[in-house]
Amino acid sequence: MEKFHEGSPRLKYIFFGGKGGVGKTVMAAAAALWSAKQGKKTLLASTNPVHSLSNLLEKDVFGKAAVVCDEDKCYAFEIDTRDTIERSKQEIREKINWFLNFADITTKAEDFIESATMNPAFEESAMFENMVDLMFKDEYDFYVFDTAPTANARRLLGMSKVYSLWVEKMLKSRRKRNR
Amino acid sequence: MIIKDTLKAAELFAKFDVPLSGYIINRVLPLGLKDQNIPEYLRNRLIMEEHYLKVIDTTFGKQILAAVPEMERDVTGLPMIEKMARAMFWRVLSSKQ
Repeated sequence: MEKFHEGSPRLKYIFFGGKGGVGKTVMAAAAALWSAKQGKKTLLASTNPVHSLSNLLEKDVFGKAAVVCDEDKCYAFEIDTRDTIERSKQEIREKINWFLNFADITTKAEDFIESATMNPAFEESAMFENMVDLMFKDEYDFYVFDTAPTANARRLLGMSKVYSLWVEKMLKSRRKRNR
Repeated sequence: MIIKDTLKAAELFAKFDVPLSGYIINRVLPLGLKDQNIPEYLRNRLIMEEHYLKVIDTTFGKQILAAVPEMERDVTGLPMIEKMARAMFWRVLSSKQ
């Protein structure tokens, strides 16, 4: 591991992934602590909807980054997606309401909203949004992410590809339309 | 099973262009125990481990970044995490001490 680190001096983001119960959280915490001990302001962030950092560190880090070691360089944070989900729901609510009004339909929007936001991908896309926000804020020198077990993490990390495919498709159909 | 699942995970990550830097082997029992007077149960676990470590080595080879031991107690709290960090990065840490 030290060789890998020495060989990648520009490394800024590291993700720990794998099957459930193999020790991702512990490995992520160890890597974060090590990075902080090298003098880097480090954030250990959990993107697992079932967070376990607070239990591991014996300190509540849900929804807010808190210092977790003596050096004041190591912060931990369990991403809270509730606000992001609420905001997205509100946006969807407004759009659906607009459409229902437009189409002169009297059905309540809530049923549509629930079915649009109840799928697990919705939580993951909120998690992805929060994760990318953290990266763009750029408040730390080094980021360690403790991810959910493989399948979810793959969806989370793959989301950027899914989004770019989606945007590409939209652009293509737009170009076609404009022709 | 974990080795197969890990290979499957690697395939899934590759499919989405998520680069893998390497693998860490966790909870390795100290093989040195084998020479001691230990119960049959533990001896079997060690024989099994020896076999799987070879499989892991042929499967992942140079992509293995670290192998860390099974600790004497659960890893929770800073002191145990620090111990784990030492096991993961021992060369860097020991060269600075």
